[in-house]
This record gives sequence, C-alpha cells and structure tokens, in this order.
Amino acid sequence: MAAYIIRRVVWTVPVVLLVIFMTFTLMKQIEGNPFRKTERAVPAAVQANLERKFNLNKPWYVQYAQYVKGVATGDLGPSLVLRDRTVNDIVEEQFPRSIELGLLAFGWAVLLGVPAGVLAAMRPNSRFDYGSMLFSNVGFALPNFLVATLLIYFVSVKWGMLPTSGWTTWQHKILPSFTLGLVPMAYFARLVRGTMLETLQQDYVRTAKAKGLRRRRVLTVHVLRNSLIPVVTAAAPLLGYIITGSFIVENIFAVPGIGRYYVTAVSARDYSVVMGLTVLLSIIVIAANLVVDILYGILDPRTREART
Amino acid sequence: MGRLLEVEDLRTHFFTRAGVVRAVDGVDFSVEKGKTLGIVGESGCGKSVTALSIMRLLPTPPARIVSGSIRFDGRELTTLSERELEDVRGREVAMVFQDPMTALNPTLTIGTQIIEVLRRHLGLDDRTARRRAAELLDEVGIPRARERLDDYPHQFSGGMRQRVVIAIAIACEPRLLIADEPTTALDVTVQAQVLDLLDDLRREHEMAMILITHNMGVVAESADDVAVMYAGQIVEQAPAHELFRRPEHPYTEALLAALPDLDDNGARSRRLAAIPGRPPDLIDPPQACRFAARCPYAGCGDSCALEPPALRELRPDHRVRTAHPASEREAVTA
Amino acid sequence: MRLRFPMLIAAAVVVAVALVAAGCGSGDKKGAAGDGGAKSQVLKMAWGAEPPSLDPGLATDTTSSNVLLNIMDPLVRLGDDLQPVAALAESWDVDGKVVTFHLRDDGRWTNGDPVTAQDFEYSWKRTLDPKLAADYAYQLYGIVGAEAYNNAKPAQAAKLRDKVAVKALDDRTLRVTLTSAQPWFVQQMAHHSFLAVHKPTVEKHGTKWTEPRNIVTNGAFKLAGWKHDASITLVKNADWRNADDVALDRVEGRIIVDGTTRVQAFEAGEVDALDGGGLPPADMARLKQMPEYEKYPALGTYYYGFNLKNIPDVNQRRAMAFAIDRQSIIDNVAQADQIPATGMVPQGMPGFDVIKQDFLPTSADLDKAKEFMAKAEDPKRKITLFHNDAPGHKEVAVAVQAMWKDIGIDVTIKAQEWAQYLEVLGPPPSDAVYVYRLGWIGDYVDPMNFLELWTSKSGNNNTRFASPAYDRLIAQARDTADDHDRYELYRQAEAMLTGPQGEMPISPIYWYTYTNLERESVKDTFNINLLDQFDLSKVVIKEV
Repeated sequence: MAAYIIRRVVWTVPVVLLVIFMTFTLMKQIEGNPFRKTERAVPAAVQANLERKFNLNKPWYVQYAQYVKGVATGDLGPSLVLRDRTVNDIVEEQFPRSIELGLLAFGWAVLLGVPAGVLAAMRPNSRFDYGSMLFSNVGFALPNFLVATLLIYFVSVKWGMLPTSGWTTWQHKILPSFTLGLVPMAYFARLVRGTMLETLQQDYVRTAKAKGLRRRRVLTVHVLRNSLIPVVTAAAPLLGYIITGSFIVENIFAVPGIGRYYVTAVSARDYSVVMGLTVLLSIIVIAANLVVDILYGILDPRTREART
Repeated sequence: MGRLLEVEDLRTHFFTRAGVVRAVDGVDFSVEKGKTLGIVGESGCGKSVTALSIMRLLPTPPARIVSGSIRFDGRELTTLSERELEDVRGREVAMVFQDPMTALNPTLTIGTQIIEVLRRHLGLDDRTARRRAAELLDEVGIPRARERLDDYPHQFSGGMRQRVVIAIAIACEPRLLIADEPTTALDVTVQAQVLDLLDDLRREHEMAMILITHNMGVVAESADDVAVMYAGQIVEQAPAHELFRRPEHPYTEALLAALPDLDDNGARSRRLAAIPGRPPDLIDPPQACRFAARCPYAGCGDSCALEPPALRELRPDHRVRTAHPASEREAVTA
Repeated sequence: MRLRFPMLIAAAVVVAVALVAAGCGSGDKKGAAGDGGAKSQVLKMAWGAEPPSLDPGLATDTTSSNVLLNIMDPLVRLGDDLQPVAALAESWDVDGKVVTFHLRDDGRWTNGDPVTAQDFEYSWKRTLDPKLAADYAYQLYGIVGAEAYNNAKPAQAAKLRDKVAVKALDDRTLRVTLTSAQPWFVQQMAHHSFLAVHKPTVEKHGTKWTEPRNIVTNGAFKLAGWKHDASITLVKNADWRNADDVALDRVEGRIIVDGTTRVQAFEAGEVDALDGGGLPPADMARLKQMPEYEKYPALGTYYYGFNLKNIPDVNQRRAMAFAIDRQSIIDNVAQADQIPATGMVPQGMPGFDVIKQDFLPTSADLDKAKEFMAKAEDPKRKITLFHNDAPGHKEVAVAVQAMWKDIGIDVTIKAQEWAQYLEVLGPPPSDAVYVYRLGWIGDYVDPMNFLELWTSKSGNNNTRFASPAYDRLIAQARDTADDHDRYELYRQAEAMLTGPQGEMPISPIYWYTYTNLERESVKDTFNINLLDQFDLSKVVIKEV
C-alpha cells in the first residue's frame, strides 16, 4: 500500500505540469487585454508599461518557463487585476473559505442524504420512501442559483431567521453550505437507497440474520458498511460539482472564497490567477481521487491486491 | 419419542402483484432428536421455503406464514417476536445455505464472522472467542486454522467456504441444523467430503438435521427419514431405506426411475426416463390432486381430478398423499 | 482491523471540525462596543465590488475611488454646482497654463506627519513612473512632460522624471504647468488619481502598503479593516482637520457583488445604504415603489456607434437614429428613470443648454426616419448589432432591432464576452461590425471629456469617424480658458456629431442615472454626485 501511494504521489508532478501547459496555452489563445477593464482604451505607453511589468512582452516560452519555476518554488505570481495582491495572498486568504464551504456542503450531504437513503431503503415504497425520492429529484432538478435566491428570500428577508449573505458567523454559513450541498445530498440519498436495497438482498445478509445477530448489528456491520462503498467512490466526482457549483453559491451569498474569483479572473484575463488556481484545483482533484482510492482499498478487501 | 421439531399444516404464501403464490400449502413433518430428515423434490416444490419458514427468514412482505404451527422443543415458533427469534436463530436452530460464494460477507474476515456469532450467543470475550473460532475451523477441516482466521472469504475456494459456513452454523452447538442444498454448488468430489463432514458433526454434537436436496443419491447416503415434496405439499414420508425399497407415490417412483442406472447392461442405450409435463402453477394450484396431470395412474372416473388426496398413514411411519399408492395398485392388477 | 461504520465517523468528524473551525475562525466583531455616552453613529452599507487596489496610483474602478476619496484628502472636492470647492488646497491661482495650489497647514497623515506639497509632487510622479505601470497614468497627461515620462524606456526614466512639470515650491505650495489651458484642470483634482500617498509608508511596505495594518492616510476616515472580498471598515479620523463636522463614527461596509443579494441584504435590514452601483434591472419596477429608492443624475451616455465603413451613408445613419424610440426603451427596458439622450454631452453638464442640438427626437420619429432612409443611396439592409453580454444590453438590442425593422433593416444581434468584445471593437472596428453598443461615464465635469472621444486619433473612437475640422475644434477648445467661448466651440463640435448637418457617427440612446436604495435615516445626507462619488463625511444618521 505504501508503495502504491508513493507512486501515485510521484505521478502528480507530470500531471500538474501538463495542466499548467494546457491552461497556459488556452489562456493565450483567448484574445483579450487583461489591462482594459472598462471601455476606456488603454494608451500605448500605459499598455507597454503594464506588459513590461508583468513580463507579457517576453516570448511565450520564456513566460512559461518563468511560470513553472515560480510554481516549483511556491510563488504563483502577482495578480494582473488585483494590483495590491499576489496569487499566493489570494489563495492563502480566500481558499480556506472555499474549502470550508465545500466541506460543510459535503457534511450536509452526508448527514442528511445518507440517513435519508438508509431509511428509504428500510421502508421501501412507503410514504417516506416516495417523499424522500421526490425531494431528491427536486434537488437535482432545481438549479442552485434558484434555490439560493429562494432561500435568501424566504429564510432571510421574509422570516429573518438567518443572514442573507456573508461568511462571518456560523449562522452565515448555513444557507450557502446547504444550497451547495443540495445536489450531493440528493445524489447520496438515491445512491445509498439503491446500494442498500441491493445489499439487503444479498445472501450474506440473510446469513447474518440466520446467525441470530441483533438487527442493529446486521444493519451497521453487514449492510451499511457494504452499502457505503459506492458512496465513497462517488465522493470524488462530487468534488468536481462542489468546486464548480461553488462559483454560483459564493457569488450569490457573497462568500469571500476563490470559486467566484476563478471565473471572474478568466473574464478579466487575469492570467496568473487563472493559472495559479487551476494548478491548485488540479492538485486537489488528484489528491481527492487518491484518498478515495485508498479508502476504497481499506473498505473493500477484495480490491487490496490491486493496490500493491 | 423425542420430537425436536414438529411442523403441522404449514402454509406459507407469497402475496405478489401477479397473485398469491401458495408456495407451501399444507406441510406436516417432524424431526427427531439426533436424526436426519431429508427433504427432496424438484426445483420450485417449496422445500427451501419450508426451511426458511422454520427460521422465519423470509421477507415478510411479500411472504407470510398464513397458518400452521412450528413447534421446536415444544415452543411455538410462529408467534415469537423478532427479538425472541434472534435468540433462537444461530443458537438453537442454525442454517447452512446453498451458495458458499455469496453466503459470507466479502468485506469481513472469516474470523470476524465466526467470532460475532460466538460473542452474540455465548458472550465469550475476544480471546476465548478467537481460540474457539480456530478450533471450529480445525474441526471442519481447514488447515492452518489460526492463521486463516484473518483471511477474507475470497481467499478460500468454494469447498473451503462451505466448511466455514458450516463452522459458523455449528459454533454455538445448535440442536437443529438445517442444510439447504449444501452441496449443490460444489464439485462432486467436494460434495462427498462435505456430506461426510456434516454427518460427523451431527453425531459429535448430537444435532438433528434437516437436509434439503433435489438429489436422491444424497438423501440415500445421509438421511434417516425422507419426505418427498411436490407442488408445495409433502406427498410421501418414510424412513429412508423403506422409501427406496418400497416407494408408494407415483411421483416418488418416477423420481427413482429417473435415476441413471449404471449397473444395468444396455444402460447406455436406454433413454433417461423423464417425467412428462411440468409442475402446476402455484398461484392457482389445482383444487384436486396436484400430481394428477402428470400421473400415469390417474384415470377417468376416479377421485384424482375431483378431491385433493389426504396424507394417510399406509404403514407405520410411512405416509402417502395419493389415491393410487403402489401397494394398492398391485392389489388391483393382481 | 475492525472499522465500524468508518464513513459515518469520518463524515461526522469532518463536519465537526469544519463547524469548530468556522466558529473559532473569522468571527467579525459585530459593531463597535459602544462605550456609554452618546449613541455612536454607525453606517452599515454594501459595496458592490472588491476594490482591486487602494493605491491611488493603481485604482481605476468606482469602488476603489469611493473608498479612497473617503480615507484621503483631495486638493479639491466638487460642490453642489460642480465647481471645485477647497479641500486640502485652501486656494489656487490659475495663470494661463500654470496652476498653483496653496495647501492648508493642518493637513495631517494618520501617523502625525503634516501633509506637504512634496507629498503631492512625489505621488504624481510616482503614478507616472513607467515601473508602477499605473492604468490611469493618462489622467495626468495634461501636465507638461508627463506623457514623455510615462513613455520612457528604463534607461531614460530618471532623467525624464525631473522634466515633469510638477514642483513643490515649498511645503505648502504646489505648482503645475499644463500643456494647454485645460480650464477644467483644477476641478480634475477631485479625481482619486490626484491623491497624495505617504512616501515613507510606500517605500517601507511596497505593494502591501495599502493593508489596514500598514496604511497611512490623511482623510476624514481611517481604514480600520479590509477583509478581502468580504468587508471594508472605516472609522472616523479624530485628527482630521474638520473632524468636528463629521457625524459618522464608523462605516461598516460589506462587499456584496451580486445585485440581487445586495437588494436582499437591504430588505432584510442588514445594510442601510447601497453604493449606487446599480439595481438589478429585473427588480426595477418593484424597487421604484419603495420609499428608500433614490435616483441621481449621472454624467454618462449610453450610445450605439456606427461603423462608418459599413454604413457610409449619413442619411441611413440619421434614419436609424431617428427610428429609435428612446423614451420607450427607458420606460420599458432600462426602467431606471434615465433621460433620453439627444446628444453625446449629457444633461447636467455645465454648458449643456448651449451645447444641446434638439435634432434627435426623444421618442421615435418614424416618418422622418423613413424620409432619411429614402434619401440614402445604397442603404444596407442587413446589418449586425454587437453588444457585450452584461445584463440589460440584450433587451435594448432586441427593442432596437424591432424599431429598425420598421424602416426595412434586418438586424442580426451578436452578444460577446467583454474582453473579446473590446478586441472586436478595436479601434478600428472589425469589418463584421455594423453597429455596436458602448457607454461613456465622465471622468471630470467638462464636456471635453465626452467630445474628445471622437477625435480621429482617440483610442475610444470605434466608428472610423475622422474629421480634421472636428479635431481642430477640440484642440482649440483645450486652449480656450473662457467658459463661454469654450462652450460655443463645444456646441459646434456636438453639431458635427448629432446636429442636423452632423455626420451622426453615433446614436445616443439615454443619459445614465444612478439608482440606489437608502434608508430613511440617511437618505437626505447620503448623496451620489454626477461622477458617482459620495462623501461619507457629510452623512448623518438621523432619528426616524
């Protein structure tokens, strides 16, 4: 197992280099002047000064090399748009908030979605089952900006129960994380219900019952544990949703994270921010996949041989 | 007499959208302490459902024991609560299932799966349970028992897995062991070993056993008494040697005739005798004799198509449910 | 290893850690601990964007500008009549192209240092320094030597720096020599690009000098907190020269980028004023009914420009300009009580009454439009209309498309992402463009700012309109100090654009307004001027 992990970690480096290269190339392909923010034309002198300052007047391979060197030493460069800050500043200050938002959303998904799925599987075709699956479908179907606006309108403005936006106290964090967690929640509920129903049919569950084990033990040790394996594997792609969905949620709830900033940076042609965040996110996705693979190996012994 | 298990007029029906499947429709038998009852019949005749009904392991929608009584050591099982049943299962009555490949939880070590039943019913502490588990593995013939406790089911072959399942079943010294087609999924060579193992264990631990199978040969080997099931009912029940020597029910005769007979000269040239027709649909079984459609002796003008035959005791310990038992047939033609 | 429901435990741990981290983490103090005495005046407002920079040399957007103008002291401010009012400069002399400012002696930096003329000389030259690469360096190009210095290669930079005609004659006197009369120069000092920075602080902290822990300012408020992308907190500067006149003790500003969320925060009572950055068009009908709704005139023109290469016939352009029903667009599409624009120079601009042309109609004049169309030789009947994909522009384009259909023109609307849009516009505009949409917001209060866009060399002229006569008029106006004479020149210039004999390179549509939501308690004193600036030192929260 240790060798497996090391190998995976080592592979991260070429993957990240490839990501940098692709992002770099793509950003250069999109035309657009990062220094022209409004309709005002930028005088030639000012444009020249800006390009010189940010090394954009050098040939592309020099820029690329400088950038890679920067990444290797942990310096992601200055922001072209936020003149007082570097990409490192932005990441250090704002990235943890996005992570927090993502983790909380995931937490909602697990705390509400998994038990809903479990209970629905235990009472198939009951009102609870139909009700929770209906809720799950609605959760998938509703776009999260709609959910966000509705929640703010009812919960914050009309009933005054929670703040409309921001990210300071724990009350602020409830609505945005819930909104972001809604689709994963719906997904988990469905998935867990499905896997549990399947597991409940398995012969070994019948064996467990035939052994006279208490119902609770049968459920937790034999049924749940095996049902949750697919949930673990689903966690990695869900991370992708959480990262991309957070742009909208952060925007609407005024959460000072990097999700919103990522998209704004592309429009603004803030090359260094886009590159820096892409590198960061790709590392995260790779790490998440690795964690899932390891967890999977722990949970399902049948797959362990493959991981040596 | 020492009747450990008495089943009386057991009816287990499945309530499905297509209709009510009367899988077990009036079954009576008993098992004596320390004896083996073999239940034979073709697929779909209700033998597994009978076994699962005893342990109440059928999913209760859609199945339900609609009537009948199952008395284990004088105690009525059909009215027990789930919690009370949990105390009986694995402790007093244990079951070995047909498919060893799926009967064990693939994500737990076999040690865990044995120990959990020991701790549940016998309250053993971890170390004692582990020692006992190793002893059990040893007893069922698994080499290097102690090391193999930490292995996972997928690291065992089919035959080995079935031994593990048996070890789990006998772990708490149950008084009745129900084995539902325990060898059907195994190679022929392994089959004999497992049957021998079951037999040895039964004698060692003084267990009664119900051995369910569609294989007449297995029954001939291992059973003391035999019950033949057809279309949800018992059609003949007798001690094993009696059944094989003097079968009464046309169905039993047909089953025995269908066995390939390797001693006969010209055996190769004779076709296997199959029983024409198919078993009746259990959603709407015939009101009269269920075997009548395939029976060579059912004729016009007899009761076969009009009334269901009752299970009657033709000789001591030999009961038959037919209007045309073999012994009465001879009398007629003679 | 026995893992009992590892997933649930892991998830529970994750959530617990996150919640604990959230609780311990960024806990903003909710409002200052009001220590007895008089009730403190705390204004809660919402800013519409994260300021990209609070360095006066680098800031270009409205949010940065407004924060800067409240924490720094400009030389002058704009009065209600849009004439310059003394601020840090207590008086000034204008002698041809030489402007001399006399500073007050009680200007103080927050670390105690006096504010001197040297500070201004240093700051303006710093803004022009090519190394700083300031976006708005061009605002200072009216000063002799400024453009040359900004253009300098690194080798010559030091030499050219000394040639920039800004000089501190002594601690209190700042002399500036201009390239032409530019009568609006003094009033331009109200723009944030002309603020001074504190040299020792800038040199010590580099790009981090604007962080609240480092920043040194000299205005009515101090930057007490700046949580990037989250909030900006200002507190009253008790040492400011006019601190006694300032009513507010604190301004707590939340940064809320989404327009709808800003409105919701206001309606939930979390903020009492927005920053004039605009209300969501979809909600305008409802918001206009609220007593908290406020509208201010703005110096800005929303216009459609023509690509003269593709629509060469002036009669067709006149026809198209006449076919647009400006009032209808304002009433039904834009819905912010804008003013129909009949010229480039907006209403509210000094000199407007002289400059305006009264040629273009406020509602459509279809008959006249068809007349013009008939006069056009080889009219182009299939054209493209480009706009950027921000909210609101598509609806206007669709309305105009219908209006032009009435005069026999088929319009294909093309929406583009902002940065690519700007590339398409050039100048010169791509050949695919027939008509495009833009807006222009004034930098300072003089029609020059609007009319100089249409000179042939202007980087903001995307029409290919090039008239030497026009260029001459503009150059002459730059040197005409007398308002009266200058406005006459402007009138001629406007006539060349949107007058009856004008070339009509553009069709103005409406003049902007700033719409805002302000609680009754501050509505009277919270005001946004024509240049989108608001002065927090004047705000008083009254009892309602």
